[in-house]
Amino acid sequence: MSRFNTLLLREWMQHHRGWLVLMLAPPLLILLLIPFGTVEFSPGELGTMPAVSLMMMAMAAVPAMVLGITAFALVFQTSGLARRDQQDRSIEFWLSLPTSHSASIGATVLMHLVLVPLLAVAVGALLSQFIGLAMVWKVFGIGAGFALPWHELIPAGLFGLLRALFGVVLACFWLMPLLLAAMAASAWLKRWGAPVLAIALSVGHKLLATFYGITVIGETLRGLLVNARQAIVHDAPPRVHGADGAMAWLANAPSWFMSDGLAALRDLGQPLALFALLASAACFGLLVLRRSRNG
Amino acid sequence: MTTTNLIEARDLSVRYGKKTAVNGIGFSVAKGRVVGLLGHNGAGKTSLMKALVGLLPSTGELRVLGLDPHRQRVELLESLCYIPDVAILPRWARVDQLITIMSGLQPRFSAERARTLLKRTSVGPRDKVKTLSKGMVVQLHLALIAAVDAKLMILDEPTLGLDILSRKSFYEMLIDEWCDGERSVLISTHQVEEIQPLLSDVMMLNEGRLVLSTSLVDLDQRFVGLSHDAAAADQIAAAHPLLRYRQQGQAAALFDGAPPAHVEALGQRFQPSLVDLFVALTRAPEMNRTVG
Repeated sequence: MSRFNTLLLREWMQHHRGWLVLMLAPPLLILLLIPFGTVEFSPGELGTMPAVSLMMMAMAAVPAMVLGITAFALVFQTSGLARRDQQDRSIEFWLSLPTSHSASIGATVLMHLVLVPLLAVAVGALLSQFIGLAMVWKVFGIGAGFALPWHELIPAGLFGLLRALFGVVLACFWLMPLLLAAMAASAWLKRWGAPVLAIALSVGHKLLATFYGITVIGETLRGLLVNARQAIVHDAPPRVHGADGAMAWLANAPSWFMSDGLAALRDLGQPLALFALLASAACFGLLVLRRSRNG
Repeated sequence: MTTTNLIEARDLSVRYGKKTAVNGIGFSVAKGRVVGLLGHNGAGKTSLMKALVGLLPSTGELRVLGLDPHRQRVELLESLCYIPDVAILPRWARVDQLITIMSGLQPRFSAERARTLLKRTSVGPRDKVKTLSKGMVVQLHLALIAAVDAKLMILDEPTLGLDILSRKSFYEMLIDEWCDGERSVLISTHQVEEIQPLLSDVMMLNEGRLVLSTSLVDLDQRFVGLSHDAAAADQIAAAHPLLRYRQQGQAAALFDGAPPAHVEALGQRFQPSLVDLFVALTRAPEMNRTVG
């Protein structure tokens, strides 16, 4: 096992319980509530939505929910990651092992900010099948589950999963400057890091915009967030009406996901992407410098 | 600089900001030695050890296992074991997880040997670090470190805060399981009397300066203790001993080298302990003068 993989494994050993609870608890709770819950569904209450649309909704909503919950928790944890080993006083142990500072920080960043969100999407996609089926059985009966057009749903689901995984990687790229800046601020300024960074950005934007009409800070932040959102879903999917509409969209879903992914990829061809790359590298460098001075 | 010694330092200085923690010292550590690094709190021991393992930058010449510690830290730590003074193993980890991590990060680590060493302790493989006592954590840390096939071990106050039984177990494991005549250990501690029987060499730091670096054999030949009656105190003082103190109720003086024959005739010669020597060499001169 390479050292970097071991560092990734260390992150998994330390945090996997919390991650799994975040990813598994909400969908499993939903799964449990569907058969035993008191909320009764009937075809009429769901309007004219056919079984296939209900399944498609579950396949889209559950991964989004799991990713959203996981990402929300990770964003709050991110700034604390920079000082995690100092706070539990194990930093001297880690520094006594033959690993470079950049590899140690790189493994933490890769695991928490890229691999865990990817895992969340995968877990959500898997559980969405069970939740979707349970909902279809609950509303339309067991027979409706077997009657679903699986030969269309499975390819659409797989392409949707690949699109989501690709989107998460791209979104991580766009959000990385903000996340690493929060980590670097925390590493250097301890608990004041994140507040100081937030205040500096907002006050800096306000002052520049008010006195000089320069809105570069606000526009850059907005640009990073918009691109991160578009990395996941670039163009809104077409509205689907009725079973026929759903079947038509399912048949077209693989090519739609591919074209949407390519559109998100094309967004990298703008100066803001270069800024994101350089800002991330600079913040990573600050983290490495801080760790190397912990000796 | 030759590479036969495991550590070679010349005119070595280590600074913490504006403070000079280690000030222009020079020393070497050969193979198969157990070297005690003694000094008061703030004498520069931890700074020196951190410089030796590349965790603090230094000026002057420093080679550890033939490498520049600061520039080649990762390469150096593959052949060097280090237990820092505030060594806290990660509390979330289980013992078997630490063995897995060490196996992946330290190329010279033997998981099998670590498990064998741990069988000598009361630490189980499924125990979590946070459930272990401080003595057990130190035993675990030493078992992990001793399972590394390294040439040099650097221990910074490894038994700080441990009771005497834990300290004894620690030193037994260190000597029995790691020292083989080829490997060297540099160990800093305040428990001078306890480690004296283990040491082959001693270094004493005082306010960043190396006041003594020698083997215990040379030490025994060089320093002389003289116990004497109170009536001879003035004559003894006139011979400028390093230290005057009381030992087993009797006045005593410690000399660097043999005292003059007429002074030696005033008392009875004895071999001073490392503690006495440590006090003599690291005590502030103005305090030394007050010893009567």
